[in-house]
Amino acid sequence: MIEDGHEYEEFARLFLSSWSIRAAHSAEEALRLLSERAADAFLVDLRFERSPVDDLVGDVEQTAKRRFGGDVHRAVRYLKEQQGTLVLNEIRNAGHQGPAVFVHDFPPRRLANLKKLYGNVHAVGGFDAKAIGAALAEGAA
Amino acid sequence: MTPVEQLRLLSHDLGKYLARAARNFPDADPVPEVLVEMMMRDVWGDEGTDALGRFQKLVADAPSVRLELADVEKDLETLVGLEAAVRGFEPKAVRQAAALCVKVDADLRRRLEQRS
Repeated sequence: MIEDGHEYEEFARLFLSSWSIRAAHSAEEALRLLSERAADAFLVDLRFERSPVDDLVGDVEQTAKRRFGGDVHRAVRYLKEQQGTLVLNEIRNAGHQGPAVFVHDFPPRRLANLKKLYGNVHAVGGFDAKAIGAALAEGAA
Repeated sequence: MTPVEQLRLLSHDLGKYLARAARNFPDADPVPEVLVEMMMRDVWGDEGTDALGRFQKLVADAPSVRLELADVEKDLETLVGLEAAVRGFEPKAVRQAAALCVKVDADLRRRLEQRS
């Protein structure tokens, strides 16, 4: 799992105990763990509000220039809000195609776009252990 | 921040985590202590700020959103008021707190869906 805190990991160790769990808190850490051993599936947080800017995937200045008329503050907010998908992009680029599950209510078109970009992607609206377990297992099957 | 962005933040940073343990409670009593303890962390936190405090901080600069969510704030007031009974593992209070956690999460998600 990849998240900015420890809530997902704590949840998974309690409710998804049939899985062997490894936790990362940045793309860099995730890729390092994946280089040691591949993963069957990914549980990914979307917003990384608590991450230091230096740990984020994405170029703040370029994002500010391209999307926000040079507004760095808005660019940082954007990168934090979308960090889970940016991390997933890094994971896919490194060749890891396992299912990715987000605990988030994506609008249908947004989820369809994520599937188009990153393949095996699922979304569960809340911390529903049965639904998350099923999404991970379905994707990994 | 627009009202929709504010609701998205509340739903993600408050509602989702508030219901993390509560929505997975078993139907039968007693609820395992490890799950009640997780709900306590979800509601009262490890850093001295409870769910009501987190809500009020998140809406501090958005009075119109706060007004719109007056019912949610009231539920949170009731929820944090159950602290002593929940920490005492009183089954009725534990169930009431869990129901409020799930309700607040659902209410925030519904509000966001309506606004999106």
